[in-house]
Amino acid sequence: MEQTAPAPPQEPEAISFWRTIVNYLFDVRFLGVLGQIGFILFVVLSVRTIGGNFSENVNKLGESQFICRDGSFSYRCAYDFMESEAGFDISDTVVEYTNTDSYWQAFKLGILNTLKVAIFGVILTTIVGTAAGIARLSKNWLISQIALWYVELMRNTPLLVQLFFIYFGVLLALPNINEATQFLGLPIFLSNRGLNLPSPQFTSSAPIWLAFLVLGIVQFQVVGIILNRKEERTGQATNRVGWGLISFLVIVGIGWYVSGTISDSQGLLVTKASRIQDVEDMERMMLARTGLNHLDDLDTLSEEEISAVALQICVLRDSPSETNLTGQLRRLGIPYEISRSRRPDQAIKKYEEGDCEIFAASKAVLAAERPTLEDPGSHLVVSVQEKPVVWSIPTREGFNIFGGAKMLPEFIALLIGLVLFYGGSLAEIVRAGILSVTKGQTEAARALGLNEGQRLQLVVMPQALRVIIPPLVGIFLSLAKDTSLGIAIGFPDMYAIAYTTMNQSGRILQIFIIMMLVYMLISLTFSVLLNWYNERVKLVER
Amino acid sequence: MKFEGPAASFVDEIIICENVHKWFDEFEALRGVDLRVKPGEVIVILGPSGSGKSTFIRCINRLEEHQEGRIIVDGIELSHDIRNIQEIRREVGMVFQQFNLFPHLTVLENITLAPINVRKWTRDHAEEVAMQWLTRVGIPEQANKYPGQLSGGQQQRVAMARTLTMQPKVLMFDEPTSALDPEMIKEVLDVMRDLAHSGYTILAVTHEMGFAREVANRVIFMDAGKIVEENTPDEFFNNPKEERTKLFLSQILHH
Amino acid sequence: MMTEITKTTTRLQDNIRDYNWQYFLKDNITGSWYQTAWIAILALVAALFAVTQFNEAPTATIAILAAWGVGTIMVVVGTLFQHHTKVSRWLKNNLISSVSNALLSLLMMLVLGMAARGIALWAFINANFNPAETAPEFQSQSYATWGVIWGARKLLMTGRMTPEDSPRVWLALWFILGMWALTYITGRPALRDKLQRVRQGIMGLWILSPVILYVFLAGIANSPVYNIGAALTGVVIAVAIYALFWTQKIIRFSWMNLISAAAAWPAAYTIWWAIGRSGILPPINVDTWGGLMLSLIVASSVVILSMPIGMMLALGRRSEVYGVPAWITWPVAIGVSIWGFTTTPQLLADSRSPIEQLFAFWPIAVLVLAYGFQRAFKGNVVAGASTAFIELIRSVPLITLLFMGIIMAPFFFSAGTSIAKPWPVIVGYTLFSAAYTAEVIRGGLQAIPVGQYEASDSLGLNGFQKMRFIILPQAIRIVIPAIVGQFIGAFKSSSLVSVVGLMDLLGIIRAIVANPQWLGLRKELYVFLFVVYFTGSFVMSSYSRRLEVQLGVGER
Repeated sequence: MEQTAPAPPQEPEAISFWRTIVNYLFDVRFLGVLGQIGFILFVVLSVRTIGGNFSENVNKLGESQFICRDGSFSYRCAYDFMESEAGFDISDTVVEYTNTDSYWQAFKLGILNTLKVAIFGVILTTIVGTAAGIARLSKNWLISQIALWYVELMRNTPLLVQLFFIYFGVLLALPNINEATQFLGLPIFLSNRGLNLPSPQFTSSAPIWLAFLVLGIVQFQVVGIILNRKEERTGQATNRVGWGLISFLVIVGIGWYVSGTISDSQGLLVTKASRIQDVEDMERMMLARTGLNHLDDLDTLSEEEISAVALQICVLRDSPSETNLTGQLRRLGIPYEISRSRRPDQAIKKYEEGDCEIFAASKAVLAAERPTLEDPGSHLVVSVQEKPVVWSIPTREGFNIFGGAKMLPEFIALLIGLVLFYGGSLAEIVRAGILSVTKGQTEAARALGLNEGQRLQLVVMPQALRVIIPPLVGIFLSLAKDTSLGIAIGFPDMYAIAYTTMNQSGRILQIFIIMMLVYMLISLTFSVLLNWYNERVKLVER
Repeated sequence: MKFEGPAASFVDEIIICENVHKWFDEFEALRGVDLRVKPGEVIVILGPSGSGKSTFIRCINRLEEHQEGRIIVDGIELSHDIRNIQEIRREVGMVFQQFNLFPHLTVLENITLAPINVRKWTRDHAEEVAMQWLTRVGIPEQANKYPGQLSGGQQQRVAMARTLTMQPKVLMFDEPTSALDPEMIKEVLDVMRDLAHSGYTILAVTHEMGFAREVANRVIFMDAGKIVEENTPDEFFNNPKEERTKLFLSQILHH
Repeated sequence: MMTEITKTTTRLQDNIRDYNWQYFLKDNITGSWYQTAWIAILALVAALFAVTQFNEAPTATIAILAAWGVGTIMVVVGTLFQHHTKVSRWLKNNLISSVSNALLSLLMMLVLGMAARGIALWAFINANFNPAETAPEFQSQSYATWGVIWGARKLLMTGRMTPEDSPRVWLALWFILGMWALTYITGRPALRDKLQRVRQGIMGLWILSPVILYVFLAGIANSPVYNIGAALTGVVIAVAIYALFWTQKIIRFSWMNLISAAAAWPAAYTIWWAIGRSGILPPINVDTWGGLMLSLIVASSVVILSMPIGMMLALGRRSEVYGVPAWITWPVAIGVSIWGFTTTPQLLADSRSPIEQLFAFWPIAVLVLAYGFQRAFKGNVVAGASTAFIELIRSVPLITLLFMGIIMAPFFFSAGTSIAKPWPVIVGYTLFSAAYTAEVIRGGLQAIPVGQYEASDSLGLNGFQKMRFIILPQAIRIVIPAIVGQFIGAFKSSSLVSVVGLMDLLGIIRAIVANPQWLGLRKELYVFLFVVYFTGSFVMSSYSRRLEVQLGVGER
């Protein structure tokens, strides 16, 4: 400390050395550091007391677990086992996985599954929660009461019990897959094996179209900016959104046409004898086979006759080629029968044995498989025009349902459970957020002459969101963490897969460490986003 | 009635501040304040808001830490030494703008808590002294109520009784009337006047010019973390030396 | 009479003539195209729904339609006469304020009515309540077989405890009920002041009750040796704590108190040992605990244990003591990292993958850590450690910690020790709960105005006194409702322990439905579970709301 003035008279002239030392002992800064050191000592000692057995046990475990590929023992090799074969199946797979893949692959799949539930969950929770929150404020007494009891029910019962009820009590009590319920005749099937519903499939030309889509979005912005400038210059209002949408649609439409035309990667493998050069040729062939003048006359034939003349097509399971081709055949009204194979070599074998006349796949697959035929020269690869995105429609075939997207009951139960539960919490937050905007704000907005839409958009929502967003992020975080409850109903999320791996390999510590890291990463991401948002919307206050 | 008046002090100057500097991060709140206070002196500190007057008196009992210069209270230097800090806090009483009564304790408990735990008085003695002070500030009948049940003026008088029961050598007031409704200001000022006349050493930050004129021995005008003018009240109000003071007084008096 | 009617009719005619039908139409139907479409869709859906339901349950549908019709007519008549009765005004404000609302109400009434009918048929009218008829041949999808709940009552309440242990459960139950009754009776306004000492005694008993309940439900092992060392250690610890409190001026010195503090532990130990020796309350296998009892034990021990830990964590996180100054931290960190970098070449040479190459540069992490520590916590180790612990725990799901409890527990004991499953689960759960409790308490501490700290400082109170007399009493009062919320949460989340194999309410239900006697009676049991949890949580949250009001009294 700087001393600028002479010592005041009260001060003792000389302080002895010991006195200085004692004075330092009572210095708050010194005491603080002393306390810190004491705390560290306390923690270290207690960890040593509790952890004495721990380290011993870990060491013992390490001898059998931290083994390198060459058989030696080293802590560096703690994670080497993750490269060995997992050996267990996973029911719900986002990406290709078989039980011969490594533990890493399985773990990755688990993370993807967790993310899948979390992302769908967050989207749906937002919808359900907002709807319920608004319903709580509805002027209609019945609706607000229903919303209230929904919220109370969700709040006062455990999530896990709800999950069990939905899974065992509702979903598994649904009819078998061969009696699957269909909604209003739409291609949506619900059974105790899950939900099948139409899904878009991207063919190989999709990237080109997606590029156009991005271009369209850019164009939308550009049009907006140009018109905005014009508005500022001329002072005349223009329909920015309308013009933007038109330009967007034009570009996307062009992209659809272009990508379908220039891309040439879907194909059919046919024999020269069939004389098919194009999809349109199949119509001619069919007419020749049936002896009809027009395909509409097929209705006159009996079912057996139709199946006798139907085109026999081989495809790979879950490939967009199938959806693409069958869509065109249905448009033309050509009857067909599909036979699906898992691998190209199985399909080509069927084709060779004459089980089917046509093998439809991507041109790359066909080109690779054609030389394996006995007489490659007598087989053609014919181009099929493709759309960038095709809808895969689930259809009932025998005792099973093919095509479309499939959601397993475990996934549905987990999703519904989480969405309903956290929707209830969100409803309260939304309600509180809307109520937090004071009446004065509404009145002020009205007094300024804003209409209802403007009032909501410009005054109420920005203020309500400020209140809603922070707890909302908390809810999303809890939702992401609670996907781990999937293990109770057999959904293979990261936690379930980690648990299986742990049981199979016995590597408890290693698995726990990665699992914790992933969860921490998720929550860190959420809190970074929240902080960023809070920074952005913070009210400027003194 | 026998009062335990201001505790006697055996030093010439009870508060000595030399070149006190205080920074809040980058902002320098105090830029070398020098002040010497004799026992029994009543000093009023004036100044525009943000001039550092509150910060200054808060430094004296270590609610804020000063970074440079020295503060000596009753012969004890305010350093990082924890014994000195406790000793000085015991001898310096403070009354806050927002009263800062403890809402979960009754008025009597509020007052006796510190004497019992810090001064080690018995409960009976502490309650006796507390009641004397409550009587002196005029609200003995409120002893068993909670602060929330009292008016602002009453709360501030309880806060004063709480401070005085500790028998401090120095009293500091941090804008004690600023949070009060106009009709309650008088009851608080009356008590302050009473205390000033009974020989307490008082350091008061206030905007009550009347109080300053009437009872202060010295008026100190602070601006931008410095003491701009130090004068007797008469001179200060009627014949200020500095331009800054004149400007301040004209703004205060003509609005 | 005749004139009366004529008058009324004329008035009605006037009103109808004066009523502005154009406005009515514009407000309700033709205001905009989407309003019209919305009304049309609503009407269509309601009509379709009514028709489908009519085929299934004609009487109920007609009743609902009739009720709606009467209500609508009442509102219409009331509006035209410009005179509303109480009922019609309520209907107009809440159900039939506009055409779309009226249709929406109808739809909701139909949906609710049908749902209520379905539930009533399943749960009451067709249900089978006979406990003897629960086997699969008596079951059906169309009605509930409630007999299982009475039949499996023992399992649901206490799990798989052996019959000879059941008196102990009753003992515990009566003890708790007795305590409640005593607390309630002595808390009546008439007795409250007279029985001050008795109330203090009951309070003490409440504080001891976890131990008493433990003795009842888990028993004491018979140990032949009286451990004199443990008894004496207790004396030393008690005296040390007393000395600490005395020097910190929290309590006053008195020989009486000192002696009782010192004697408390040996006395308790002796009683404990004597009970164990006498064999009145022999140990019970804790693994047999189950059902509602286990759920409650888990929930309450977690809340009780997590309170003090959470409080310490919260105080730690907010502590503002002088930290380790930068001139100590930086040299240490830099020294460590310089030493660390000497290992880098070797690590790089040995590395087999990019990740291991990255790990070779670990000293950088030390520097980053040191920077973060100085920047965020100003060198305060206590705050840093508490924050890290809280945030770490809060970022992982509860179920991970429960599994960690079960799986990691053997690591902390020498090989061969077996631990009953509930204990590690409770430990894991407590760590989890403590982190959340800490945040709740921190919220309470933050809610206390800074003036309270300043006032206590300026009065010369020291740190302990400030916390003990000023800050904590106020903070606790603020957070009590939140703590009750925590308890509700713990009670609900205790169902998660079933995932790690404990037989709590949910776990035992999974065992019950596998029992041939009650095979597959899932829905009934889940509904029962919903009722139990809902009632429990609902009662507690109403209590917490009342508590909030009570605690507000006398404060402001």
